[in-house]
This record gives sequence, structure tokens and C-alpha cells, in this order.
Amino acid sequence: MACGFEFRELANRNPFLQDLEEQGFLLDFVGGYLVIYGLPYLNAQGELAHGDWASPVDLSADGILDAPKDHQAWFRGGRPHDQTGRALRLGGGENRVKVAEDFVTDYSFSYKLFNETGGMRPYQSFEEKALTYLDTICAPALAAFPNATPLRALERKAAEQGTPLMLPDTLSSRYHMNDVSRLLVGKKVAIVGLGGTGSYILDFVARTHLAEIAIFDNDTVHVHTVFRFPGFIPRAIGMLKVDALMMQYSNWHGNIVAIPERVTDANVDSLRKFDFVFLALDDGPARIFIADWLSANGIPFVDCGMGLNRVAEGLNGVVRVTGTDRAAFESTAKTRFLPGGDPEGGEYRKQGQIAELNALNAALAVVRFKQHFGIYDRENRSPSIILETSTFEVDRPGEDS
Amino acid sequence: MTEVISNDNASTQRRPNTDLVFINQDRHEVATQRVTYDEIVALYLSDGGASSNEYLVKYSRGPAANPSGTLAPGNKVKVQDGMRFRVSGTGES
Repeated sequence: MACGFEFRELANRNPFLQDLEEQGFLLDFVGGYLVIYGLPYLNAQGELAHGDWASPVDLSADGILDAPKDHQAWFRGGRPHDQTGRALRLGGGENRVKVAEDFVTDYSFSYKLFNETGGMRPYQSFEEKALTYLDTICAPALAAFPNATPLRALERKAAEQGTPLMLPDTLSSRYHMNDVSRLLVGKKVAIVGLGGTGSYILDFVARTHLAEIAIFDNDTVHVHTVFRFPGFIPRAIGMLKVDALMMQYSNWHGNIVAIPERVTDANVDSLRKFDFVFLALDDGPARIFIADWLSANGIPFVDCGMGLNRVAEGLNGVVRVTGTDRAAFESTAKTRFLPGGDPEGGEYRKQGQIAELNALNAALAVVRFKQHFGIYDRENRSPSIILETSTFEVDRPGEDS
Repeated sequence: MTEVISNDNASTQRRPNTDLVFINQDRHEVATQRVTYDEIVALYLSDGGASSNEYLVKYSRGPAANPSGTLAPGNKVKVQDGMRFRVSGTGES
């Protein structure tokens, strides 16, 4: 349903309606009625249902909403109830009013506010009337169903994008960046390894138009894992990392595929379908094996790595990204730019990690990934960079002193 | 600054012809003149670990010839007293 010219005119003159629209309410102005679509309510059985609310408006000569003459509003849907199964005391009754050709209501309401002395008082503004009805009708449903939302326009606009992104990408349109943000449409990516760095990569790429995000990891969430995941995922400890992250990030993206496996020669062929693969492992031999396989098969990749060390005065961190093609692999394999040391052999000592370094590593990897698809400009052709926190210097292959 | 003594002799007496350098948080004595990538990594791993050319080695507070920078595998730098080396793996996630 496209909002008509009439609604735009009304919203342009009444900032309150613009605010509601910005928040994601689905509004229209039809036949003299202001309509709010898709409000969640509880029916007589306590089930979640959705209805459409309509109220006549009183306009001043210059199109400003005046204070409403009365308390009346109309509703297309069943009678709203509270969580104990009682009908909300909204007044009115069954009432069929034709708001528009295809919009006939089921109920009329007359919901009144009281003043300090217990007498009924008129609504002081149309805003007060609309918000009072919204709160009263929706509150029981929002309490009973945590995923219920009155923001119908978000769902609709998100669906209109034609991608699995669950929210409308309003920022890209507002800042005229739709052309670049759409460059990921139809692309499939995999993240191998969902520790601190891999989980932050997911945090960033889940907010894009990618067609699929597959996450590979066979490990479970420990307390130290939670410290390095973005945000906070309730009850994640003890779950598989990929399950906890899929559950959380499905709020952002509708096609995250959790694969609770390590990538080995037994299943590496499942990476063949991806347009890009992120490697965020702490196992050198696995890193070399997968990067070798991907680059030999023409699948672009970015490998991440970091180190955190006590030095003379505090901590020193390094973060590294390396990719994306066969030439990059061949020029960096088994160097500090793509280490293959076996941690079991004591070649690498387990180092501490810290969320901001994981996030920094992930951010660099995602920038490099977006460069690959032309979202960011790219002038430097180096296959790898290492950023060190003590100096903020960047090391690249072939630039040694 | 924390004083960390990693050598067996905890005295501040130094052997002749050595410079005192810091590798991460540890003090080490190295022969004056020059030190190689392999020597720094070996000192860093002196409490265990196989040598490798996969470490990032950066240094600062060096002499005028090489005040700061990266020491790459196979290379060497001039040392001076108080020079600092930072050794790090790049493979954690």
C-alpha cells in the first residue's frame, strides 16, 4: 500500500505523524481517517492478532491536527483483551464503518481519560489520543509476545528489499548509498571460526543485503567466549557457538546457516558455493590448508589473525588481515602474514585476547571484503597488512627495513 | 616500570660487551653491535617453544642507525642499551 499524497501533506504539516512514520508505524490518511495498520493485540483466547486502528481527524485551515472533538476510534479486527482474558475496557461496541472501499471496521471504541477529580476529560491533542489507544491496545500483546511489534512498516519495507535483511536499510537510502550497499545482493559468504574475531565479523556482515551467511564452528560457548562476543547473548553459555550466534543474529538477517563443524578435508568442498570466505581460526595448519584450497579453487578469502602480549609497559596488540587470491596466498603462506605454525607443537603460545582487538581485526577484514566487492575504494594492492597498537604502524609484505 | 629479571643472575652487573634490551616484558643481555631476528626470537622463546620465522618482531629506542621499525626474518639491527623489542604471533582469533 503506497501512502497517498494526502498522507504526505498531512505528515509534512504535523511532525508527530512524521515521528510515528520514522519509528516504523504503518500509517495512512484515508477518507478523512488517520489509519494505523497492523497493531498487535490479544484476542479472547490470548492469541496474538493484528488489527487496524482508524480515527477521524479535525484539521485546522492550514492542515494542522486540532485537538479531537471526541474519544471515538474504529478498529478492524477482534475485540482486544488483556493477559487475563478480559476484554479491554475501551467502550463502544461492534460497529461497521466504511472507512474506505476496502476498509470496513468491526468495532468502535470510546476510550476516555480521567482528570484529577475523577471526571472524564477530552484528549488535549490528536497525539495524546493516538498514543493512548496505541499503548492500551498493544501493551498486553507486547508483554505476552516478546517478538510482537506494532512497527508494521519495518517488516513491509524490509520485505520490499527482496533480501534477507530483516530491517529496512534506511540509512543507505537517506545518504544515497543504495547503489553500493546493493552490491552484496545475491552473494553468499561463509565465516570459518566463530571466536572473538569471527563473531564480530558476523556482527558486521549480518547488517547487509547478503543472500546467505554460513557459520562454521564445532565449539561451545564458554565464559571467556562471552567476553569476546559482541553485545550479550542471554543463556549462551554451554550452547554451540553457531547456534547461539544464529539465534541472536537472526534478528538482523533471515538466512544465517549454522554448521556445527570444523572445516577439514572431509567437508572443505562445502565452501565451493560461496562468493567469499572469512577465516578466523587460531589453528595454523587448518588456516594454511583452507586458504590453499580456497585460493586454488578461485574463491576469494580474507584470513584474520591477532596477537596480544605483555611488553615492558602494558599490552601490545597486533591485528592482521591477508587475502584475497592465489597470488596473496603464495606470497604470504607460512610467514607472519599467513602463519601456519602448529599450536600443539608449542610454536605458538596461547595468547590473551581482548574484545576490542577482535573487533578491530574483524572490522579490517570486513573493510577488505567490501573492497573486494567494490563497496570501498582500494588503492593499495598489498596482500596483507599487520597493524600494531604500540606504534600504530602498518607492516606489509615486501616493505621490511 | 616493573623490573622483571628473567636471567639467572638477578644482579644488575652485566657481562662486558653486552647491551641490556627488553624483549616484551623481559630483560635480556645481548652482544653489542648487532642482533639478528633469530636471536631475538630465540631469547623470546627461551622458556620453551620451537623457533619460527612467523613472528612479528618490532623494535624501538634503537640507535640512530635504526631507531625503530620491524626486524624481518633473516635481518639484523644495531642495538643499544635500553632498546625494546616486541615479539608477537599473528595467528590468534
